[in-house]
Amino acid sequence: MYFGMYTFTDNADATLLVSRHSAGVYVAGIEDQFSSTYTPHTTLTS
Amino acid sequence: MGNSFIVYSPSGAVASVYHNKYLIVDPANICSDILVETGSHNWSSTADVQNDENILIIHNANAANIYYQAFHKDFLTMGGTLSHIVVSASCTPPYLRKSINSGLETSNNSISIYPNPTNDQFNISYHLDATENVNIMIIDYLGREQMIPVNNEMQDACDYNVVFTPKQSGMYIIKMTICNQVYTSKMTKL
Repeated sequence: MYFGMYTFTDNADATLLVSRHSAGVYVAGIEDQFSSTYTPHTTLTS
Repeated sequence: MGNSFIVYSPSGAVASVYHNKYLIVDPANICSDILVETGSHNWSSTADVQNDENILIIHNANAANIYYQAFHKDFLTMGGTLSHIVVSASCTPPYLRKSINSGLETSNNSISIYPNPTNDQFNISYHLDATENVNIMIIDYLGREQMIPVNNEMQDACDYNVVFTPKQSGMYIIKMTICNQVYTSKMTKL
């Protein structure tokens, strides 16, 4: 899965992506810096 | 997600924001329901419950490939590295199952070349609904023969996948002849 997102503030979506990544699915994404202070960013980078 | 996740931080004369909203699913897995989800809808609760948004889900391998190429370019431009797409081709692609009635349809619904452009190899996927005589030739932009993966062979009704790995960058042309119908397309190796 590949994603690009401007406003990414819904952590449920981030959790789902990480879950798929942990299950072996290749996940890559780009987010705008606008979203880098929100919880999903932490979820995706931790 | 490690280095497969990048934050867009503009600098210089580039776009001020990365304003895209999209998800590409299985862009090179022809055994999957290849799709792109896009539209105005950000992944936010405000978009979920307050704004007037739209979501477009495109079940189309060619559209997914176009989005993937854009993602690939953006990701590398931002300094990221991507793993090569793993291609599996051992079953009938869903978008072929529902589009084939008889013989060859010389449209992108029955022949798929992906990824295109590529920095590695091309996969040429096609479906035959009946036993047909097939010829596939790949030439470079000067007309020089590069590969004849199928040389006037009678092939049974089935799904086929041909892999072509160019030796160097440039434009290539594929010419497929199936049941006296000719299909040509350009392919670009970066």
